Amino acid sequence: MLKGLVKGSVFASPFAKPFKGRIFAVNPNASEILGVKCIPSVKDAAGPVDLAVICVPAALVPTVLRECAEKKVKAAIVVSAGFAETGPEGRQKQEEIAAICRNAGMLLLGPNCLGVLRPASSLNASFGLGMPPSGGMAFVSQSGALADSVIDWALEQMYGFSALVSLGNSAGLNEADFVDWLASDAQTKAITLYLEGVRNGKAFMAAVRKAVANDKKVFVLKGGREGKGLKAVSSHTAAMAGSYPVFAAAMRQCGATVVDSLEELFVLGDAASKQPAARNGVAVITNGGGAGVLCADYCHRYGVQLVDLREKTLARLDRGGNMHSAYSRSNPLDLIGDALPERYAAALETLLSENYVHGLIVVQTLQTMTDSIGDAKAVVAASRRHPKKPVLCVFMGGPYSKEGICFLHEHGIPNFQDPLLAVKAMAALVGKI
Amino acid sequence: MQLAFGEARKLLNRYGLKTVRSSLCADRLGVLDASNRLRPPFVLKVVGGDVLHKTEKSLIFLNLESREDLEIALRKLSKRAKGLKFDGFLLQEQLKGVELILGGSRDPVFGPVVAFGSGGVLTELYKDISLRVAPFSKKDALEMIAETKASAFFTGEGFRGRKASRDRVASALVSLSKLMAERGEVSEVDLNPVIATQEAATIVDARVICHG
Repeated sequence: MLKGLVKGSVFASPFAKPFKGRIFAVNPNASEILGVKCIPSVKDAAGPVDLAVICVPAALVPTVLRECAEKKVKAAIVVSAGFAETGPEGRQKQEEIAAICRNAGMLLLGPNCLGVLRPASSLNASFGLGMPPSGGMAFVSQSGALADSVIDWALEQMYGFSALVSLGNSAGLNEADFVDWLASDAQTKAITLYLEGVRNGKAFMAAVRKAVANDKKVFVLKGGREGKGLKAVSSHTAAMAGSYPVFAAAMRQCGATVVDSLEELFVLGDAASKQPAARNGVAVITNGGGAGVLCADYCHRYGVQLVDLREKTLARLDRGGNMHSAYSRSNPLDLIGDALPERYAAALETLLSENYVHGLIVVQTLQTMTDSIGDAKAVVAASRRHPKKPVLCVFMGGPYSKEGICFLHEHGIPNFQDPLLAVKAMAALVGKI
Repeated sequence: MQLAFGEARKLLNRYGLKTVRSSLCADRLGVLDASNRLRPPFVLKVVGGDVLHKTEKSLIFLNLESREDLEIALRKLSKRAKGLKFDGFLLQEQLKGVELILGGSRDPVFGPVVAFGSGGVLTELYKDISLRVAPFSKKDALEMIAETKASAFFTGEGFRGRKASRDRVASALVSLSKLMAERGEVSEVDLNPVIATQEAATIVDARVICHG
């Protein structure tokens, strides 16, 4: 298994669609790797080379990079470990390879990294096993193994990515360079980062500001905040860890959202990559009182404003004839447990067409007559008619709701099992966190 | 190296930060003389050298109204400060208002940082502090204030009758952020307390550390 995968999947993987560009396998000792004919040196490649992915033992990396420099390769990804993360000797070796790239004007990612994935182009320049679906969320990680697990997780959760970047030791390109690039990448709608340290705080803040100015949400999870975690950081990626309170303040200052867990990072990143940002002032639609109450509690906690429904709005709901006689007539709008898709559709359309309602959280608890797929279709249809207003769902449940939840996912409506995460996502979209 | 009182005051004033009316005096006669030029009540303290936490070592006297009050305070301070290295006595006008803390420091990653919080002796206990990377705008400064519990003092009704000018404090934060961003030699600034009223934000005590 390892024999083929660790090195082989850099250029071909049974899980990924084939990459459309031309690929050369380079190895002086093998005649072929995974069925691809080898050339002995990069210098033997026919035509110019855009990117070299290097996964030879650390001791051989300088030689290979010099050959790449001679060939005028534009960029190199050094997957190999055994550099600054191992101690002073490795640090020296890392400085050597950084200098080779710098002098040749060749971009360098790594060493000690997983590489880069660009799903839309089927580019898997990494030793990641799978290729996640293409989407609007970028993920930049200072942990390679984390990136690898995230890909697997993304396949399960149906998260779509514009790019995944494992930074490794950042001897050349660093977190600020990638955020700066993603800030003007048309595919990217939201940027998620797992960081243990930032090399140049001001440069990173400038890159985040650029992304935010281009209407891209930026979410940051910081590892190594305190205690033993702080100590583990330096031995992990050799990054400098400043004070966490300063980091968190700096992130807020430049417009990034600081999150507390990996789940939050991707759940919020996914939502922001699929739904638009909006002004504060939203409504909650629910078919169950408790879930609505929880939503209202969390909205208060995170500064998401629940608008007061105006008389004319209630009059429109009444006139439509779809409401239950005991519906709540206030926000959260409780449609009562027997709500069918028609009632959801009426409430969705009425609220979304009000100019003082800037977004919706739609809750569906599972009750005897609940038609999950019908409700999901109503949500998708209403959201399509009002594309500038964020719509987030909390369809709670398991097998009985699965079809509806899948329908929502497939049509770009984020769904959350817990109202807390839905509210946090809304808080991010309305700029409160 | 900590800047001497006069130098610290000059630096702060140059950046538009207001310091309390005061006089640094070498001895008893200097203090009595200065008391004629300032308005009571006074604060009298021992400053410079080894003196850091004045309250704990009782190196500060408040509410001094008369010449007699000053004489008593001078006698006690001289006794308590015996053996300490210090620059002299600082006689200040005593201000009433909201006690705040403004601070500056340097982060290895983000560089100059400014802190804001409720001041006085309980700062370290409550840790009610907000931070920003310097330099920053007035908008950032207003957000900094809003993030702390001290923001209660800046509302229309104030907190328990105590009110202060949000605008003046925000301006002081912006000034300090400019100082920290421009003066690379300043490694740490501790303005504690800053007394804020509806008219002004005035620095009562300042510690400015420079390196090199």
